[in-house]
Amino acid sequence: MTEDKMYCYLWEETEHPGECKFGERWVFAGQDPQKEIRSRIRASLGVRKDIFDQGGVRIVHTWDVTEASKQAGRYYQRSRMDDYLREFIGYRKGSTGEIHKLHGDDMKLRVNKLLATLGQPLITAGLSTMQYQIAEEVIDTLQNTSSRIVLAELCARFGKTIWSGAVAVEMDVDIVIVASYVKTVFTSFATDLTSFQQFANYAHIDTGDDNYQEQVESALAEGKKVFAYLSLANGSKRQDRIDYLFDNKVEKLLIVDEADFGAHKKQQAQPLVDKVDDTVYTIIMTGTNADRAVAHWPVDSMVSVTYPELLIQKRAVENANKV
Amino acid sequence: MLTKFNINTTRDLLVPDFACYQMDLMGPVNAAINAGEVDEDFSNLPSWSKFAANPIKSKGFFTRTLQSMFLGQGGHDELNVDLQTEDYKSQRVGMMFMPANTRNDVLELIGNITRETLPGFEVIVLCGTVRHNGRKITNRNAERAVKEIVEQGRPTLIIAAQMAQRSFSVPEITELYLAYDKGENGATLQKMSRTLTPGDIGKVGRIFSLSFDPNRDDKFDAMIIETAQNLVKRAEAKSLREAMSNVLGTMDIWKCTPDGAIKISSDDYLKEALEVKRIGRVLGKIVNLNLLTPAEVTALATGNSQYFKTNRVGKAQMGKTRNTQANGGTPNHVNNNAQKEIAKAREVITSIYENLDIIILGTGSKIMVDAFDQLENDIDMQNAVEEEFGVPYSTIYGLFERNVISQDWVELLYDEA
Repeated sequence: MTEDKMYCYLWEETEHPGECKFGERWVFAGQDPQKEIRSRIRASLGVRKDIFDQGGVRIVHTWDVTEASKQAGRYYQRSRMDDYLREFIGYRKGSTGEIHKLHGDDMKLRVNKLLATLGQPLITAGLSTMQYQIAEEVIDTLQNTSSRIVLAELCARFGKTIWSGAVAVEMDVDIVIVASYVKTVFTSFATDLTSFQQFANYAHIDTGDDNYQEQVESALAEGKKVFAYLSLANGSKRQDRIDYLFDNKVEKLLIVDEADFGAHKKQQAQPLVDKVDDTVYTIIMTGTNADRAVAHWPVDSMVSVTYPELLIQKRAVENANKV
Repeated sequence: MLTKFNINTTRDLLVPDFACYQMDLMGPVNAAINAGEVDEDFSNLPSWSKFAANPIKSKGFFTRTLQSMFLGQGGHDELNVDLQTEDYKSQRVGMMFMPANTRNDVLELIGNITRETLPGFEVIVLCGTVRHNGRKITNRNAERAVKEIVEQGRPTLIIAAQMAQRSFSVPEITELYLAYDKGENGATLQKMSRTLTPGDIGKVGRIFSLSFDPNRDDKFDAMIIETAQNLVKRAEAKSLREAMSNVLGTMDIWKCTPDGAIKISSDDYLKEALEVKRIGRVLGKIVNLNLLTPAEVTALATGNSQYFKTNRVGKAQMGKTRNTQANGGTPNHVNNNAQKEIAKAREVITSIYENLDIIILGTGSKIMVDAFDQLENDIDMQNAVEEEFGVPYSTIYGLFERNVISQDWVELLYDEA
């Protein structure tokens, strides 16, 4: 690091997941930002540093907000850049406190979105070697062959979320529909992807929101692309949401995540299968149980990555580093 | 080539290493039998499912096993985890998966036996009838409950059956014990992954298969075989033998002995797996049924001998692995019946893999392709094959020709025999 930087950080106590602390740290050139931030958080706990030392603190995320602080005229030590940002976020505990009454992941998502609108360049996501190779393979299959539906059986620790997000960005489709029976999937997608620059031009929209159609149309009108999160739980409005998302001429990528869990049942899968046409590319994503995951899907192609393959790649990098 | 993403190789380094250990439980089993601590049924043919049906009847076996594994007692060093791993930790955090159909009350009972046997351990049972800090344990709060207990710093053993197989990430878990006999491949992988959450730098996730018959235990095989197949498919290995060697060079498989763990070489692994026809069983489990049409899966499962005869040569349209219209029941019935059909089709394919040597030997051939050439014009021999396999020759040939029965594996398994 060759220049001084302004960082913000977010942490929460594991014992109190509904509240989080958002703060700032000025990091001088040559210092390690992560080390400085950890040191600052620990110091802020005063006589209860034991909470930090015993793993009771979860550092949710750190942001380099240097560009945003320059634009806001706050590029200097103790400029209260954190206060400047928190005004946009809200949910403060008390009128002046630095604690926000939000779950850490929720707060992270809000800060990510805010920084994107303030023009702060986010960190650039890199892919592991296997993620990169499999992304190339799947994109090639979807775009250059007759296959429109790919089964991706990807092992634990592969990094399915960022991988499928990368595929979506590279395919440059306007609407990415993330469908799952497991609701935590949506939080995971939104919080992970909004941290990275490659996803800065995407709006993340929960189709469970009352005004989701308005949000989608407004994002597309602004030239943004959309990640639309679609719960496959069989509610009264599910079919309406599916109809809205699919019944248009826009090119779409459908990602069915945790496809072997809930989403494998006919009443969940069939409404999506019925909508698959030439405007839709589909990735059925699962960690295991591929048979079950594709039970109702006319799958054309399959990619698979096992954990030992990740280890083989790890060894290759270790050996290259030794050389 | 991707235009907006680059490779960051530091991400390649984040995955924890892991090692697999094959443990033979017969030491404590025999000791318990000799001491009259287990019932006759368990003595005749010990199994985890019998233990989980009524742990009281075979309590002696379980307590001896736990004492050997975690306390080094009883003279069964082949089960002494510290000796086998050569890694002594002041705070051990392990997770033990019992048979998936273990009832909640039985799981609690197993937890109680474990507490009695390992008084220095925190033992937490993950099932819906157990409470932690006044709250019922659920899939949603299981991770948090375990983390709270692990934070206390004492050796911890987590006991589970169905719960905590997914979305359960506790970095401190470094030991994973598979205490069941047979398992569906996907579920086993899910369970094994519980020890692969990144933790301390240099973390090694250690997975122990606790088996009454290690020679027939195939819990690690599916992962090895699938990986080898993938390496060949991506041209990262020229042959399955080379691929197997690459895989086994990366993930260590250890056989636990009284003198410590012995690493199994790829040659030994292959030899052993071939001798007891373990590979055929695993190939049946992981075969890509997407290569078949739903009707073909049904034909295989139901022994429809005419189907492949009349649809022999034409390449089927690839598609669904099952025919959801085949049954007239409710959607759940459709799911269940279709799953059974898939399972049955896999059994048929396993049987073909395991017995292809009959065709080679019967035709006096050295390689499978020659054997098929001979069979092509010999109706009597084709009938003999049908009688032996329970499926017509044309089915076997059709599966082979379309690589559902992998030609690479057949070559490896039989052509050098």
